[in-house]
Parts: sequence; structure tokens; C-alpha cells
Amino acid sequence: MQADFHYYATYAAAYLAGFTHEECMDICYGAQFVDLCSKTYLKGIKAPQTAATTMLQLEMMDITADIAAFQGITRIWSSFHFLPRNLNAQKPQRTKRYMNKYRLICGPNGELAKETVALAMGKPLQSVGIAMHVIADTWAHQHFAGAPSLVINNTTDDFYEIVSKDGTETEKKLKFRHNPSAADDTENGIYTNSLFQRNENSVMNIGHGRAGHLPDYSFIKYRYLPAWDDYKVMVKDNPSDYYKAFTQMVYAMKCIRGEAGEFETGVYDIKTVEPYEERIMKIIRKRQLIASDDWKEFGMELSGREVEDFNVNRFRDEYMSAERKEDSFIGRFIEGALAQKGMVSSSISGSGNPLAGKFTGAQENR
Amino acid sequence: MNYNSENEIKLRRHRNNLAGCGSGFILFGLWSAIKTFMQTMFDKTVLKEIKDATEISSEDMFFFNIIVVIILFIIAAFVILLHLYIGAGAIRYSKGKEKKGFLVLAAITFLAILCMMPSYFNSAKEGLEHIDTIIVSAAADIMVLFILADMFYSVTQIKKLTASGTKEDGDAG
Repeated sequence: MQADFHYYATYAAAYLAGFTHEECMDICYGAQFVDLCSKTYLKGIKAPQTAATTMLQLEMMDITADIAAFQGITRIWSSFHFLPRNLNAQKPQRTKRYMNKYRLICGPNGELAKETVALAMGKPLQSVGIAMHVIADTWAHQHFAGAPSLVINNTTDDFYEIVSKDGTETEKKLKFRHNPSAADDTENGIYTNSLFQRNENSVMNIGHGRAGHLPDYSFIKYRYLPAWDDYKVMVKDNPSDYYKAFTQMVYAMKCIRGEAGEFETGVYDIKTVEPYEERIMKIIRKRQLIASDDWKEFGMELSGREVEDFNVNRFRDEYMSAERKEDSFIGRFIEGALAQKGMVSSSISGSGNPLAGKFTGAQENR
Repeated sequence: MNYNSENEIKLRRHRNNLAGCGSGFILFGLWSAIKTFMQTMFDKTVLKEIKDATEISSEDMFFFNIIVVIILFIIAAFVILLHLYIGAGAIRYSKGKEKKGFLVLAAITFLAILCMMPSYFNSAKEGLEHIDTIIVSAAADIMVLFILADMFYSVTQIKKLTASGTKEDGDAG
């Protein structure tokens, strides 16, 4: 997902869950900061790089081709952006090597999603933001894995947008080009994706690169053929998924506030969101590359307060000048990120899967 | 629309297989061309036999060699184009274009290679000094036979599945 959902929609969901405006701002900032807290950023503020929650393109190009680097990448992407749904998934007649990657496929309502929300309970709001980012991405990024893998993350070039009009569905073939500097053209169905990389472990084969930004556009419903599903077509209904993500976030945050018991997977707070359903679906279905303005307007209508635009350096000086770093905003975010990374990494390695390695908190300062 | 009926899944699998066979066959075309070239140029007995048969004088040797090279290039080009036609035809068929001309040439190629297989045993009987080359060449040709057989199988399956898919749509309509 993008800033429109991670920041503004999370603000709206937090407000509907009962948080105050100030609390919502801390939560949504934490959620969006997950997409910007790279090693480069942390190095710049002299913070521990082990807390990185994302990787810049340049950082990914710069990594070494060894198992430690592979595990470092998997730890970051699987912990924050492609949370695995089922670490014990079964598939017949497959090698252990294949299954290690298959079991990292992201999806909502897995055991790790439950653990993610549980980890945020009783913790600072930054941890809540991290949890909401992770939960939201389990919906958008499902069916892709947060580890470099051709056999899991590759797709064919046959992507079709499914358009509904007057009750009937028609299909329109989408075209891909490899031009990261050109904006996606929603009207003509021309999008950018990553080039096919033959090497199984190439960093270009991580996540949803082969689908371009399609998973991050809330308006689009499309079908495609993923490499891992034995020639079965995958239909990805983003409008439906994004709405479920929103209602699940509201429910999750109510659980974190202690108002809805223990978080259970497959539960959505439809009742609280229902009065706004039409409005939210209008935002979600609007054909645009980023819906920040619409979500911001919605959030501000809910709270009656100004929602400040995201500024990655907002808490930078506070962190750098703080005597006790852990009491600063970024300091609390770092603790939450380390906890999330530790939990996911130990779950993956505990299931007998070596791809995330063992996270001690001391690695990755290179 | 049911994208994942058993029929549709099998159809995708066989189309993908056919495209793979087509690509593999094109690559083998390069191998065949290189093999033809190297066998003639580096196997001294072949060139010696041609020279003895044509009674070429030493002065004309240079021109003789040039002609041999040109003929070899023509043969290599023909071999590559043949493989390209068959392989590209298979790939086009896998994408839904119904032209089956490539199958005729594929069948001829299959039979030709099959008929040539006993010559590997004859070569082996004559002497074991080139046994490694014989084994490798035989293995490569067996692989080509396998690719062609797989191609025929995939085309048959695609035709069958497409027909049964059309029938199902007709019954549903």
C-alpha cells in the first residue's frame, strides 16, 4: 500500500476505533514511517540500523550475494511488508528448498497477523502504527513473498483489468513497460513493472515487482497468473480487499484499546464503519494513482481537526538531541520495529525455515 | 467466468509446455548448426575424402577450402532456419494462433533423426576413439526427439482441450 492508506486511511481508522486526534496522528505517522525507515535514514540520525523497516532501491542493489544478506532482506520484507500467512503450509511433491519460500507467501488473517496485533497491545502508539502497516499490507500484498524468489514471485505478462459496468464484467488487457520514471497510465492500461530476472535469488524477484504497483492501487480489480499456483489464475479484487483491511484495522485498534477483547483473525468491524461505507468505497474505487487528498478530507471530516501532511524529518531533531533516545518518538518506533522483526524472524526460524536466519538485533550494521 | 476450471488449467499447462518445447528446439538448432560445422572442419577424414575424390591440386586448395566453408554456412543457415520455423510455430500455436504448418516439418525432422540413430551404433562399432563424441551427439539427438514428441503431445492435448472447452461453453449457453 501507499501513503494514502498507510497514513491518511490509518488516521481515519484509528479515529473510528476511538483514539483521539493526537493519538491518531502518532499512529498514522508510525504506520507511514515503516515505508521510510531505511538503513540510510537510520545511519543519518545515528540510530541502530538493525531497526530498518524498509530498504531503498540503492541499498538493495548494493547487497552482497551471500546467505546473510539474503536473510537480512527476508527479515525486513517479511516482517513489515509481506507478513507470511501460513508458515506450515503444505504442498505435495515439492522440495524443502521450494517449500521454504512457498511458506513465506503473504496473506491476511494468518497466525502472524494475530501475533502482530498482540505485540502492539500495551505498547506505545508507534507500535500500533507498525502493526497497522503490517496488517494493511497483508491485504494488498497477498500472494507474493518477502524473499527473493523467481518461482514464487514471478508472473506471466498476461494481466487483465476486470471492469464492472451495469452489472456485467469485461476484461481489458494491461500492458507493462519497464520505465520507472514514467507514471502509470490508468486510462490506457499501461503500467510499469520489474524486468524478468532468470536468477532465482535475484533481489529483483522480491515481492510484487512483476505486478508493478497494481497491488497498491485501491481502485483496480485484475487477474493474473502467478508462478506458484500451478497454472491457476489469481483474481485480485483490490476494492474489496482494501475495505476489509480498513474494517480489520478498526477492529484491531479497538482490541488494542481493550474494547473488543483479544484480536481474532477473520473479524472485521463492519458495524462501526458501515455508516461511512459508501464514502469509503467511493474513495477506494476512484480511479487515481494516489488517494491521499480524499482520505485526508475524510479523516478531517471525522475528527474536525487538521491532519498534518507526512514529513519524514518531523521527529528527526527530537531523536538526535534526546538524552534518552528511547523516550523520543523515533526511539519508541525503533523499539517497536525491533520487537516486530524479532517476533517474525523467530517465528520463521522456529518453523524450521532458515530463510530469515536468527535475528539477534546485532546484525545488519553493514 | 470460471478461470480455474480443470480444462482451463490443463490448457495453460500444455500451452506453457509447448512454448518451452518451441524455445528449446530453437536452441537445439544452434547446436545442430555448430555440430555440422565442427564435424566437417575439424574432422580431417571428411575433408581428406572430399579432396581425394575431387583430385584437387595444391594450388587450388585455398579456393577449395573457401567453397567448403561457404557450403557449410549455407547448410548451417538452413538448419537454423528450419529449427526457427518449427520452434516459432510451436510458440505461436501456444499463444492461440492455429497455423499447424510447423508440425509437418517437425514430423519430417523427427523421422529423419530417428532414421539416423542407428548410424551412431555403426560409428561406435568402427572404433572407440571417438566414443565420447558419439555418446554426446546421440544424447543430444535423443533430447531433440523427446522435445519433438512432447511438442506433438502438447498440440494434441491443446486441440482436445480447446474442443471440449468450446463444447462446454456451447452446452452452458
